Parts: sequence; C-alpha cells; structure tokens
Amino acid sequence: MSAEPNLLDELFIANGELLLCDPLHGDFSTNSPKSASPPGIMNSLGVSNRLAFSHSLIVRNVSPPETATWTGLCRSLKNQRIPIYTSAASMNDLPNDVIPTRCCQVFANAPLDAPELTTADLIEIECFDRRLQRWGWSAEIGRQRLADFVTAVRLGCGGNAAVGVGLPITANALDVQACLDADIDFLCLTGEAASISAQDLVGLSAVRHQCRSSSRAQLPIVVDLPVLAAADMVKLLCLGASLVCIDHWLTRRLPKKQAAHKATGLGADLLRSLPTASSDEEKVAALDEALTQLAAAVRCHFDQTRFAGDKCYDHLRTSSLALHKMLGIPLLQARSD
Amino acid sequence: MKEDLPTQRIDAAGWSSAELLAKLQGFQEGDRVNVQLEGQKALSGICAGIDQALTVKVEGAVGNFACLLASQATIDISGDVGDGFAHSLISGHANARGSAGDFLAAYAGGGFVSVLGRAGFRCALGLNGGDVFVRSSVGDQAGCSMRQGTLVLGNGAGEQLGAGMLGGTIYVRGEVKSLWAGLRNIRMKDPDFLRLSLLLARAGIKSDGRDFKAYAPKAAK
Repeated sequence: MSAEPNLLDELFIANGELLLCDPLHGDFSTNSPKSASPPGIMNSLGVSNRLAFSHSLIVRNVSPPETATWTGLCRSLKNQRIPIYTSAASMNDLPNDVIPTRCCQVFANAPLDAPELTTADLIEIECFDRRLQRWGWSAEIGRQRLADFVTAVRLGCGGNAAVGVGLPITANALDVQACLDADIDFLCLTGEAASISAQDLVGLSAVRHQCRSSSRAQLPIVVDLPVLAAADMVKLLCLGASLVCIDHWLTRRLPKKQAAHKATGLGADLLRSLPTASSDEEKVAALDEALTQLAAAVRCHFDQTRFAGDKCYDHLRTSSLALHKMLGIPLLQARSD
Repeated sequence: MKEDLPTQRIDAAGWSSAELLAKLQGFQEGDRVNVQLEGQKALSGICAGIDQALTVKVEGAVGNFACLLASQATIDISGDVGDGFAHSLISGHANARGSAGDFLAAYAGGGFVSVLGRAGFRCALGLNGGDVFVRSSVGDQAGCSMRQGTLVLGNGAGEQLGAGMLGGTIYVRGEVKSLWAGLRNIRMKDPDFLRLSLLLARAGIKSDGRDFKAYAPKAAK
C-alpha cells in the first residue's frame, strides 16, 4: 500500500531549526527558552477569561479511551496546557488536578445543552448538521443573526467562556466575514477530506488574510487537518493557523484496547507467562513523553516567530510551482554550489 | 411567596445586555424587578442565562435571542421580542405581550413560553419539552421538527404545520392553511382538555379548550 502524498512536504521552513529535527523520530533536542509568549483568547465582553496556551496545539476529535489511559492523557494535556474537545461527562470521574481546558461544540439544528455549555472553557458553534452530515448554518441563526446568537450564548454561559465558530476550511468569504463581524473569540476551520489538499491550504491562507483585512489579525484560528508530524503542524502555523489539532498524531499513539487473553490448549500456560508488551503506566508515560516533545518542538518555532499566523510566509519556502502561484509563497532557491 | 415584596426598578437606558444581566444576578431569589428599556435600541440576549427565581418585568422591546438558556425566572416583556425568543429555555416562564419574530422558543427543553401577539416563521422549532402558547397568528411551519412538549396556537396556523415533527402535541384553534403530511388530527380526551385549559390559564386566558383541535405526528403513539 503506497503512502498518501502529503502536500505539506512541498513546503519548507526557511529560518526554523525545527524542520531539521522531528521529535517523532527520536533525535529531537531544543534549547528554546521556557517562557513562550502564549497566544490568548480574549472574550470581547472584556471580562477576565483570557485563556493562555503554552503552545499551539489542541485535541478535537479523540474519543475517551479506557480509564487508565484517559486519566493519563488528561494529565498530560493539563500539564502541557493543551485544550481538548470532550463532554463534561467524560471528565466526571477524573481528579480535579488532571482536568485540562475543555472545549465543547454546538452543532447546527440541534438543541443547546446547558450543562455542557456552562462548564466549558471554549464553546464552538459549529456550522455542521450532524444528522444530515453536511455543512450549513443553523436555520435559526444564519449569517444575519450570528452576532446576536454569539452574544446571547456568551451571556447565557456566564460570560466567561470564549465563543467561536466552526466552518469548513474552504468556507466562502461571506461566511467568514459574518464571523468576524460577530466579534467571535476564535474561528475553527475543518478539512473535509482524509488528506490535505491545495484548497485546504488556500482556504486557511485566505481566512487569515481576511482576518488581517478586517483588523482582526490576531484572531485565533484553530485548524483541524490530518497532520501527523510536528514539522507539518508548524507549517500550518506559518500558513496562518494559531492552534493545530493533533488528533491524528495522538490517535496513533493512544494505546489500543487489548482483548482478554483467552489462549487455551497446549502452550497456553507458556504464553501467559511471557511478559506483556507494556503496562498501562508505561504506555501513558510514553504518550506523555511524546506529547512533551511535540509541545517543545512547536514551542521552539513559536519562540522564533513570536506569534503564529502573523508573519506567515516569512518562514516558508516551497518547491511547488502550484503552491507558489496559489499562495504566493517564495520558491525554494536551488543551491548554486 | 414574596407577593408583598416591593418591586425594585432599574433604569437600564444605555446599558448593554451584559451589564443588565450582571445587575439582575445581584438580586435575591424571589425578588421582583422592573427593568426600564423604553426608548432604547432593542438589545440582543436580554436575560440570557438568568438562573434565579426572579420575577422580571421588562418595559420595552427586546432584540434577538432574549431569554436564551434561561431557567427558573419569570420574565414578562411588555413590547415586541425579536427572533429566537426563549431559545433553549430550560425552565421558568417567558412572556411577551407584543409580537415575536421567527423561531420562537426554538429547542426549548422546559418551561413555558407565551406570546400574546403574533409569532413568525417556524415557531417552536425543534421544541424539546417546553410548552408554548401564541395567542394570535403564526407563520409557516409552526412546530417544525418538534420532539416533545406542547404548542398551543390561539388563532390558526400557516402552511405546513408540524413539518418534520417527531413528537409532542399541537393544539390549534382556528384555520390551519395546510398540515404536514406526517401529521394527524387526534381525538381530544379529558386529560387533553385539562392540560390545555391549565396552559391557557397560565397565559391568562380562561377557556376549557373545547374549540381547539389536536395534532400529533403519525409515527408517535
């Protein structure tokens, strides 16, 4: 089976040392300072609900795994200050000191769930109808009432949560403008395909450009695309993302649930006596280590660029003529020697 | 009951919805508050998320999504209300003496919403357990995608009443322009009349409900 071509491989980071060392393949080390300047989400009501992230990662579509791993994962996310989209119920059995920043989603044409909303730190109004499996504004909201709805949800949830909108990454400019005019706290862009297309990158770049044109250059943009490597996450940051979903990266590292060992017959006792691959604690420790390295890798870039999504292309070069033409990214210069 | 408690007045001219909500949250359970909004631009999100057993009387008109996610409070608005009034209401009573815009009481999961004037398109959209009463006429597709609860229409209904309805009951007095194909007229029994008359009484209307017709989705029991 051939690997899916990755469009992000056509992009290179010009100034970052990061691209030379991928923490996922073992040889990563960074000497970046610990004091990163975090991006924040400031509620437009002006109340003290600034959410500071130590770097630009977020978990969006990961189902809670078995209990031991779930607690360990939440502890890691909490330590790394990585937010996660999950239900309030999934955190009921967790100790208070391992609960990370929680985001929740409100879907189109569906009721609001008060307990979910009022206990969330971030609320995303996602323009996706789960029943019909298609994108579109909720009938009662639409573009024209979005600003009022955002205000009401913000108030209805106590005024402390950041309220954003989720759109497809290829959303048209009118929808994006409606969000910007609605004074949202963040925007979430989701890719629709299993791999990253040129349209996804063009869409992200166009939305960031539109934010700048509307005097909201610093609007946090969450990007949900299937990325697996730290370098690719950084490239998305350079293209205008503020937070990148690490769902695909994380799913591959979460320990799989193991079926009960039911070997019988000859050799069964011998099989049982063999050491198992690793205990839950070891799996969680390995996951925590990988997450720490990933966070450090992205933070390293973050320190260099100060804030994601602003300088964008200053740090990018491309070997693809198509990306050069579509996005205006400078072409990678061939070395003369 | 604190019926004899004096009503406290708030002149909210020039205030934002957030400022008003913060002020209301400072009152004690059972307090009666009169909010003056007359002559002001209709604010959106008025009384959204209020969760105390207050009795709030708002003098003036309000904008979109007033009383969203409100619970326990009794809120009486003297003027018109915008679109999405009492969206996702949890409990309590939200009353508008004027007319309501589109999507009245959308997804209300509990409580009682009453409108003494007209209501627009898709009133009680996705109603999820609340009770809704509209005294005057309503727009098309009233009760659209209703799941649970009761919608009472005092002066007929527009086209496609109950479109996509999954559960709950609609009571209508007067002419219905057209019914959704999946809706059926059901015979009203004594418990229906009792329930209906209680709801009407709660909206301040004395009636035994004998002149209403009841509708429910065909798939529902």
